[in-house]
Amino acid sequence: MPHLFSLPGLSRRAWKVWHRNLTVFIRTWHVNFFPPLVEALLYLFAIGMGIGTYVKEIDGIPYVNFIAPAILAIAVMNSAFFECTYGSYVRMYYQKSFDAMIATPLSIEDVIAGEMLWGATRSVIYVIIMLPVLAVFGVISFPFALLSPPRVPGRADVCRYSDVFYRDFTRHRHAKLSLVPVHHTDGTLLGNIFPAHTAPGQSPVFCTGHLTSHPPRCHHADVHAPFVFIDDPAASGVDPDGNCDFLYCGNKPDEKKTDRVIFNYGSFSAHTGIHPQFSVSS
Amino acid sequence: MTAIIDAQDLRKNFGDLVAVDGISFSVKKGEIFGFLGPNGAGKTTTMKMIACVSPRTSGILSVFGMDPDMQPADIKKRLGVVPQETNLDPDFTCFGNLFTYSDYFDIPSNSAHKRSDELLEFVQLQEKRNVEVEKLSGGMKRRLILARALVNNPDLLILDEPTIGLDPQARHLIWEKLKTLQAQGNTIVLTTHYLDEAARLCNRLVIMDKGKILVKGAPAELVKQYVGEEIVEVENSTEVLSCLAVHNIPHEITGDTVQIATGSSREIAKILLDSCQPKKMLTRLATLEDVFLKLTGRTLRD
Ligand SMILES: Nc1ncnc2c1ncn2[C@@H]1O[C@H](COP(=O)(O)OP(=O)(O)OP(=O)(O)O)[C@@H](O)[C@H]1O
Ligand SMILES: [Mg+2]
Repeated sequence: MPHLFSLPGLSRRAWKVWHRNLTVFIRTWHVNFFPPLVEALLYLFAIGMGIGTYVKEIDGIPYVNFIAPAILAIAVMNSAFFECTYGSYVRMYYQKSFDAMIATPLSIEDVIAGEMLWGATRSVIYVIIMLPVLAVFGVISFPFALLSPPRVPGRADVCRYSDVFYRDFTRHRHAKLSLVPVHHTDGTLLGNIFPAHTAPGQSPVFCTGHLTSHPPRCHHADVHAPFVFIDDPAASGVDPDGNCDFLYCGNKPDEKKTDRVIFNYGSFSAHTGIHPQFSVSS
Repeated sequence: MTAIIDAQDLRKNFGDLVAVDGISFSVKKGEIFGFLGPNGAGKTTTMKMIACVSPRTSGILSVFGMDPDMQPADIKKRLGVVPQETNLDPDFTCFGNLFTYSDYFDIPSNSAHKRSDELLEFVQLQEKRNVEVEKLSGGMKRRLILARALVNNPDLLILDEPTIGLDPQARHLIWEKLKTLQAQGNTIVLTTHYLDEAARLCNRLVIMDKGKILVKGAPAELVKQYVGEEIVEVENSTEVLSCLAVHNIPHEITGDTVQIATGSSREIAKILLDSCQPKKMLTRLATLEDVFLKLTGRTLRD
């Protein structure tokens, strides 16, 4: 691997790849405009109105308004992620577009950079489409919301770094790996649902249980941090059984206040084999 | 004449597998140069090294006097490549494929537009201009790929089995187009499994096997040198074989026929008719196919 630490042979030709993808996007606009619209509506209704019925408001903010930024953030990361994994993979492996491109003055570095630029662009487009939908429902405040599209490329970066690894994996056809980070972003959504009440260093309480048996068992998990990132509930002591049906957290067992928990839903499911139900009470 | 491609002891390994095993050749400006060989001989690997998409393991390679490792973009700017595996962009129409590809070569859009239409006409696909490439037949895709290789007016064309899967009309069309391109001063390197095609098109060619070059030269000379001028074929029967042995005529048995390579088919035919009473006899000119089979054997490659 002599090239590992050398500067990639990038050139402005990367924009040609970006331009190609944009052209295809515009050619097929009628299928591309649909998902962001549906996604915004789906999240607003399912989570905003659904869970919102129980949660009502958080820190004085209506629940739907509270999650609106998370809906945007997830859209940003998911669209960039899907574009640079699934989208790029199809172009690379099935369409052999990369092979065709590198037979021209484009280098493989140009092609990959162009794909990444396009992934970020696509998530900007996604947000621009979603904003009016959220605005119609009055869940975002102007003019500050208009700052979100320019911020998107930064958020999308997070996803794109994992893409580079993903590329290596897909070469070996471990395509299923894509599911982990996808759920990962779902976990971030759930994390955003729970606000922070715990003071730094205070240990949160987790209550876990089964839908059929009462009452839930609550305990201080062995985590001491201003916020916790739970990858494996069983290992972190949050769910000692490793097979709970639901989980909530708070400061004291009787208080049942929610805590800021960034919950890695994908890993949770992977470790326990179940899809947790989230029980939230205010 | 100057060499467009120059290769010395060129080598490519894939792990332990030696795909190209130290070959040397040079391609002159304006010639059509062929690479022949059984499956897995290393033809495509050689094409990819010339096209700067697969780095060589060792040896010297220069294209237009430049090193593919050092100046790939400068070389690729002047190349037109038809890959063995069709890789047209399914997200575009025929015209869209040529137009988008032109952009990769920095061709301004108005001249790209004009050239794309000219090229569609050149490969006789103008009535498919706005059809998605998915809806083309295999042979049409092949023709479109040839057109795509020409968008940048290349000085060197690298064609990996350009006529695979084409009907006889389309093959003749492509041959004619390649001859036209050659007349315009293009240099063409091609691989093919059709030996009549190689004999017809190539000024010079090499026959490769297992990563090595077995022979190189002009097709007609190779035939003369390795087989002779003519072939007499008779049926494979004990009477014929013993008769040939009596007259001390060298021959080769291939399935149910016996082949006798000779400089004078009349003489051999006379001997056979006079003394061997063959049931069937046929005389024909020796071809490149005879050279190919003689050098690479008749067994199938895996
Ligand atoms: N990417 C690769 N990785 C590993 N081995 C490869 C790769 N590409 C080719 N090979 C091997 O290199 C050898 C030469 O392959 P190549 O494709 O050059 O043959 P070819 O002469 O073009 O054959 P064909 O007439 O079937 O197209 C083969 O043994 C092949 O299996
Ligand atoms: Mg090949």
